[in-house]
Amino acid sequence: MNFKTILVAALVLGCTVLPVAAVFLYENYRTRDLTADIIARAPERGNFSPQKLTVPAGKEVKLRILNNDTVVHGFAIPALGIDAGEIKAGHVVFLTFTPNRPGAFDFYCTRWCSEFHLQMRGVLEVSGP
Amino acid sequence: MNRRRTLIVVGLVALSIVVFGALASYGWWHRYGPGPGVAVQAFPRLGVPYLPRPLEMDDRVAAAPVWAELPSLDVRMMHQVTETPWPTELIAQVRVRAFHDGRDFYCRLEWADAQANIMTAPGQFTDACALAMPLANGPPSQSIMMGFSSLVNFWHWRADLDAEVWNGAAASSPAYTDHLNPFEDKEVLAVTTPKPTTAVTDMLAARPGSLTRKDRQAVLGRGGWRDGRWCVVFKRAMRTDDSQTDVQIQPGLRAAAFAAWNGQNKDRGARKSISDWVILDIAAPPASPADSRAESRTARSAGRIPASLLGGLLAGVSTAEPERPREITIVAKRFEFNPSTITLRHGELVTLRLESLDVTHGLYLDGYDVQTKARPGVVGKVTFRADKPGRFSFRCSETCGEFHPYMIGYLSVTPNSPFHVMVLIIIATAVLVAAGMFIIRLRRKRTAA
Amino acid sequence: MTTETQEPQEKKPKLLGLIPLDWRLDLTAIKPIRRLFKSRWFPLLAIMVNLFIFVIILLSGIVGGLSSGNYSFGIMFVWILWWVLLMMLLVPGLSRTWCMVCPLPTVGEWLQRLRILGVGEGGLGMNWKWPRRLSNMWLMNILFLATTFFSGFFTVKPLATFILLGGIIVLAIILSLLFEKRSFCLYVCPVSGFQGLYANMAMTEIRVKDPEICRKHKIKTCEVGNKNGYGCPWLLKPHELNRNTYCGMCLECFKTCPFDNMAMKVRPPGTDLLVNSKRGLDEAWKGFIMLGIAVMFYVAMMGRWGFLKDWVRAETLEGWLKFAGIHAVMNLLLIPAVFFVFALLSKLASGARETSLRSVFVNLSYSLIPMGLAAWVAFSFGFLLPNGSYLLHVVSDPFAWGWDLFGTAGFPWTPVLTAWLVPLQFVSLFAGYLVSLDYGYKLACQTYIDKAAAIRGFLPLLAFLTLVVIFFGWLYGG
Repeated sequence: MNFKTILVAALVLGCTVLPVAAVFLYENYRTRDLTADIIARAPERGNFSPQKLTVPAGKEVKLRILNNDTVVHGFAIPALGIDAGEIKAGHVVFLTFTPNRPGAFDFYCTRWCSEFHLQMRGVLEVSGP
Repeated sequence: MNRRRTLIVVGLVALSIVVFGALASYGWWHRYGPGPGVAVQAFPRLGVPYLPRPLEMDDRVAAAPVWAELPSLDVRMMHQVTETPWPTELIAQVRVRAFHDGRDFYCRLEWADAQANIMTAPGQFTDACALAMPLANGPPSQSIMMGFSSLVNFWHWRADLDAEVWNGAAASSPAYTDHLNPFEDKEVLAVTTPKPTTAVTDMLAARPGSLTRKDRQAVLGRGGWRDGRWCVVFKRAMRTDDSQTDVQIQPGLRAAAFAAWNGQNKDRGARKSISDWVILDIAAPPASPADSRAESRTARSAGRIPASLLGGLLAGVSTAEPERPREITIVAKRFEFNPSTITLRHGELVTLRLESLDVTHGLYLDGYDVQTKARPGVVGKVTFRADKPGRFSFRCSETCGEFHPYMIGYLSVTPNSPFHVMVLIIIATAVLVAAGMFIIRLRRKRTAA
Repeated sequence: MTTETQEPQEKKPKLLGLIPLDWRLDLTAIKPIRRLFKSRWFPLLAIMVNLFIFVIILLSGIVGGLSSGNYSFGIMFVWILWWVLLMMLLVPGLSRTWCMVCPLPTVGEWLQRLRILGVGEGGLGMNWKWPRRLSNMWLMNILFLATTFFSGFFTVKPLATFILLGGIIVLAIILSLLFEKRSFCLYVCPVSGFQGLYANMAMTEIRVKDPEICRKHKIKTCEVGNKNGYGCPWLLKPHELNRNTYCGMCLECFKTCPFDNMAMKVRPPGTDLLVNSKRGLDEAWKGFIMLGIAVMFYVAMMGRWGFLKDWVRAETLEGWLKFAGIHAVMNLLLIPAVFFVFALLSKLASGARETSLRSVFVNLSYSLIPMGLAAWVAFSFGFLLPNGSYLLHVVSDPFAWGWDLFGTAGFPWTPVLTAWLVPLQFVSLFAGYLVSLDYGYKLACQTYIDKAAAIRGFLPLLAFLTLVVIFFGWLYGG
């Protein structure tokens, strides 16, 4: 084990395993205070995932909506007055809000995204204190 | 030694294949793997029995005993959030019942509403409900409404019209803009507000933004509010003599959808609660053979979308101006523009109207750097002067699917001088080269001689 | 069969009458470059940088960036950046420099040698000889054509790009373990074939400085290797290298040569087209296929015909089969058949009985290479200018997780210089046309016995090239 061998081994790891590990560590760090991820896809390709989300009332919720699809989607919870607007394909939107009243609130896609656009919806359940 | 090496090689080959396969299948699962909602939901069904018990549209029609005998369906409603304005509160559920007596079709919508809002005034809105039925027979193949699959009839009942028609109440404000959705800048469909003869406005749509009131109004409707519930009954003949614009109701499966407005929450127009499709399973009456033949004939003619009508519906009303740009409509659908090639004269003023048939599309024109976007019901418009000659590509500028980058059309501004210059130069080069060859040959012959 | 007619009174041949064909500039005369090329750390470090980029590309194909291709890191880097770089800069300028820094066969080579930096005997692997019958471009022709059948997947679906690249890596590992040296790169890699053929057009070459030194050098260390480096991994004889086609520029010969006799030289583009060694139908067909794919890609991707896009993306299996069938027939039969007609006309016009039709067909086909490369450069402009701006987004958010590494994630799609797109394409086509004419004439002179016959035989080729360039002009902007 001379110096050169160690250097080469370090370089090989540095360009293969290390970046992969760094990517996941950074991602974990960034999402440390996220309540949930919601993946947005047209209904025939997976719909919102998850379609049902439960959060406690009175606590701040931080959502990340990932458009993993090939078309424009939207995200809105009209009953809570929340609208993330247009989310382009491959783009991501962060939403931070505090639901105060308990209940079940529908969230919807707000853009014509597919022949089954109207089915692209889910429920945010706010549980009582 | 050799065997060991073979074993190692075989092992490494197997390992690399397994690792690759595992990663690829993880990627596949990650991309296409089933989420909880992968399967497209089935549409709920409602039986529409044949009952030979015709109803008069009197003030007891909503409470007639026949309704209690019918199967009912509680339709789950949702916020309308594709077009603005959105509703703030939801009418969560509408209970639907329907039957027919062979001649007329009856349908009753029932929903909870703590307060009846009947009269309209500035800032005050009426309760209302609506029923949508596509002209095409059979179950729907998609959930988008507003006539993507075929033309759609909308029967729109309003409490204020109900009061005016049945009870002789004073007419509501004529300026009430309701279902009319100005779908494009300076381009609003013609609206007339004649004296209502029925509480239900019968409308037709070819696609979003094309909602049009029919000339002939033949749908009756009557509602009543009691104990915090609205009950509204629709009635129309199963068949009409206009299968081009009227839905022809016949035994079998047919799609219908519902909407409801709560005036208390300032619901009107797009601000409403809507449902997805419900499949009506319409029972056949004990019919004579002659009847069924007549039915199938109407079915066939109803299935076709009249092209002239579509054109009429979509052509906006435009006033004559002295210098009007030439208007070209481009219809976009995944992944094609139609027409996909446009020829303009040099110097021409042109307006491109972009309509979308499925998702949000855009149009970016190379060289001119002009851009617009359209979604179903909302037309994109861009006006420019074709002052650069040549052929330019126009591309979709809103990611519309996997082949989005390849969604392209051509716009030629004639004369296509860049191309002509290029061809001229090439031909000149070819001729020069050929001539040069002959000169070389002649010279060589001369020197040889 | 060729006859060189070097008449003493003639001037030196020049490219387009401007640059003498034997003009060379020795880049390795510059000391830092020579030291770099002789170091074992190069191109290893460059490969590692590339390996890092490809790890991110592969990762983005399976865990992130799963949306449509235009917002996927992998798709954008491979099909916009890499492909455009390859077509517009690397191959025409620097020959097979991509092969020098390519990370795809690296893992296979490391396993084969069981060494990364150093040199030594006794690697892993069976060291079989590659079958003679497959020692040509046919396999690569077929594989490359087959790859383009799936272009409707590879260029839009991140996972498909992962499978393509991952498949190449795995295949390279397997073949490196079974066969000797870079057999995979030489005879299998789909990207290798067109790089080899179009590298004939390159403006650089690796050659010996002084052939005399090699003649006196009895142990050809560049072939067998020594303690400083491996014998040519590309199974060449570097001491008599005269053509770029099969030279992967791995730089081992710089390290093994004890006399420092290898050089990387700048030269006028395309001089290899006139080198008659290993010419054959396989390379001729490669030229036709490249031309045909340029046409088909343009029609399918940049064209206005929606039904064709439905075929290419396999909306229905039947449509895709139609596309694949038409594509294959056009590339393998139709284009060669049209060219054959012109080759036949050329032979008839020349009146040279003793020249075989086969040699006319094969030799003249090399004149298509400048034209084909120009068509690809023009095609690449059509990708780069409108869609290049996507790169700014994906580089900041490579996995579509909402990252913003360099603050450019919010940069919108912005086509640039699209007013110049078609003129730029025309200029590239015209430049390719001129070079094609020049080499076409020189090839005709090489093929036919005397100059008069060559001039007569050149005229049908002139007509063919003129038709081809007008066709491409019409396709791109007519």
